[in-house]
Amino acid sequence: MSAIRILLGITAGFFSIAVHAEGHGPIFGLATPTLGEGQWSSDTAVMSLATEDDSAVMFREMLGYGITPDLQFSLSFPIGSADDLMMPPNTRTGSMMAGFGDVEAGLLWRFNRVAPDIGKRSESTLIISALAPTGDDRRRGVEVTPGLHLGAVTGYASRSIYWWIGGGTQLRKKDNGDRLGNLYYLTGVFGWRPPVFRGDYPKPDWRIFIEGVAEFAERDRAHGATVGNSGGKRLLLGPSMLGLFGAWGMEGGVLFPVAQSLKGNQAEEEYRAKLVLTYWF
Amino acid sequence: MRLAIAVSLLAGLLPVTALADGLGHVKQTIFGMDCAPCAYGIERSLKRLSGVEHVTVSLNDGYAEVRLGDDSRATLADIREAIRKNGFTPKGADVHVSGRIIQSDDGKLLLQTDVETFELSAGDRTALSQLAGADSAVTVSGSVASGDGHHLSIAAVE
Repeated sequence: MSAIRILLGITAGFFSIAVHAEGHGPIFGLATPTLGEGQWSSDTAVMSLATEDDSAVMFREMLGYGITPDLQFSLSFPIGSADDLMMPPNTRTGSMMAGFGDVEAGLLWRFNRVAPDIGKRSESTLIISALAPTGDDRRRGVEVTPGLHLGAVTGYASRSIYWWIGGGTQLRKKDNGDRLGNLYYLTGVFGWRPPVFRGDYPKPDWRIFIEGVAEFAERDRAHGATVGNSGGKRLLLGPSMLGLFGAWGMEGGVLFPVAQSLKGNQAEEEYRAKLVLTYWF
Repeated sequence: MRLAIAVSLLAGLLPVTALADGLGHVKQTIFGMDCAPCAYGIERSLKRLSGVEHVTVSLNDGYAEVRLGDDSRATLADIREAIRKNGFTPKGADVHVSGRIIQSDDGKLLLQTDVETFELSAGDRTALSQLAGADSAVTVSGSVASGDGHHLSIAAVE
């Protein structure tokens, strides 16, 4: 049970974060946004994860709106309720990432953008978002409180290769000595569009990514005391693929743990998988 | 010299009513556009402009090609602003534009449409001087550099 808590806590959080990468980006790692001014986008995602003991599925939706070409608003929320899932997800023991029931509203500010040539762009983005719990009052025995997520990402996009590196933290408000542990993370992505997929618009546009995520979760605190079997480190790596067809995008990927160092007897993670359907209005 | 001859022949012969005033065709170079949704967003924005009849976007060659109807009120500035609002960088453009030749107070030769004015230049000075004498509307093809200016370097006059 604790393993699923761990995984769902992290993956639910990364679910929220990763869909910020809509447009041309990866599925698990951070990327810079691309919505034009006045443009809307919808990302509908399903995520599956498994530990050596258990597995679960969750659904989530994110709406994006381009306030300006370099300032984007996003709203991410769960679809359905935990009870509708084949395995109701809790949050991770030792993670601070958004749980299944969290609504996340955020701003993405692309503060640097340089286009040196045809099809090439370097850019950097800051992310700030607020988390509001709408699901369980308590997760793994700790009161669920509002949270704050801060992130930064920089990268390069072209017709042949892509890369992004980013990182961030998610912090929860402390209440009556309870606080879900802070989570710090780093992400790295390398993308490649094979020559066979470089046909010109409006032909379908495909690319392949290798994504890496490193997570560092602090221990939870309950009634002012540290919670055992919480917190830990994890490094995950895996492939993903993005297909774009005019106003539609579809992306799928899987992450496998390369290294895990969990505090306590939490079950180890076996994989995370995600599928996202995107539409640009 | 050939341009000068074309100017002298065509500028004096074409009746004003034979020409639709304004942009007829624009091939706008775009930097930074890498993906299908980028092209989709630009295509959609450009199609919303007044009188735009057809838009083609090339990711591999980095341009948007816009064909405008006779009733179009869209300007090159509008096209470039639409691209900027999608988060990309408009660079130089090849244009095909019809308008009236006027001379500014400081002696610059201008091509004026109902909605936009271009400052003309040409490698062949004779061409410019002969355009200056044209009382009727003309159609010119040429390139406009990046930025907000409307400096049109003439390649051909029709």
